[in-house]
Amino acid sequence: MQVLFQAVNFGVIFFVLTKFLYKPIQKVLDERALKINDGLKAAEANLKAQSDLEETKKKAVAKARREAAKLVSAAEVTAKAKAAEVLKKARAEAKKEAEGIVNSAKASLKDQEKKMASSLKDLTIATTKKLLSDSLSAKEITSITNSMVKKLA
Amino acid sequence: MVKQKAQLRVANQLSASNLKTISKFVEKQVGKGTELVVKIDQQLIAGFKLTINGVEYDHSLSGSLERLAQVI
Repeated sequence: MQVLFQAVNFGVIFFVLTKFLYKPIQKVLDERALKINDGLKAAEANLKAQSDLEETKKKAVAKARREAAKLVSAAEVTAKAKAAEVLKKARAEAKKEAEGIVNSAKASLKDQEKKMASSLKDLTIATTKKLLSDSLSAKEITSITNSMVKKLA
Repeated sequence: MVKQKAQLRVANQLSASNLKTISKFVEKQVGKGTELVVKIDQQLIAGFKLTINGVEYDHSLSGSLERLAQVI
């Protein structure tokens, strides 16, 4: 009888414990486990997102570096071409200027030569006239005049 | 009627025959009755220069030299 009573008592206690203690605790534990699981999933998702972000960042930095290198290379090529062009232009201008100076000098020299030749010619004529005036005798002058007059006849 | 004049510059005194030859030349160019004005000009060295109506006939040694200088 006592055993039966104890069995019924145990059953009642078991029922009460199960109904009012075990199930709520189990529910709380399940909810907590679910929360932890969700938290872990969220943490994993965050880690993955962070990892993806890092990867994207690395790729972006690498791409930016490549583009920067390309830009620098292009700028160097452009700068070299520009420098070569400027140098070529400067050389051409210097050559033109030098040619102008040489031509001007040549023209000046030619002009001086002309003036000297003209002066020399004038001097030669004047000297010849003077020499003839001083050296021709009256007879010779008459003779030359006679021959000049004959041309009119 | 105004008498025409011809200028004759000579290096030295001309002989009569030379003067006659020149007078004939002047007559041939502008007709008779032209007065010939003669001047001595030793700058000519030898020969003469005749100017008739603004036209100059240069037969002087000086002129010959100047023409030679222009050719050179």
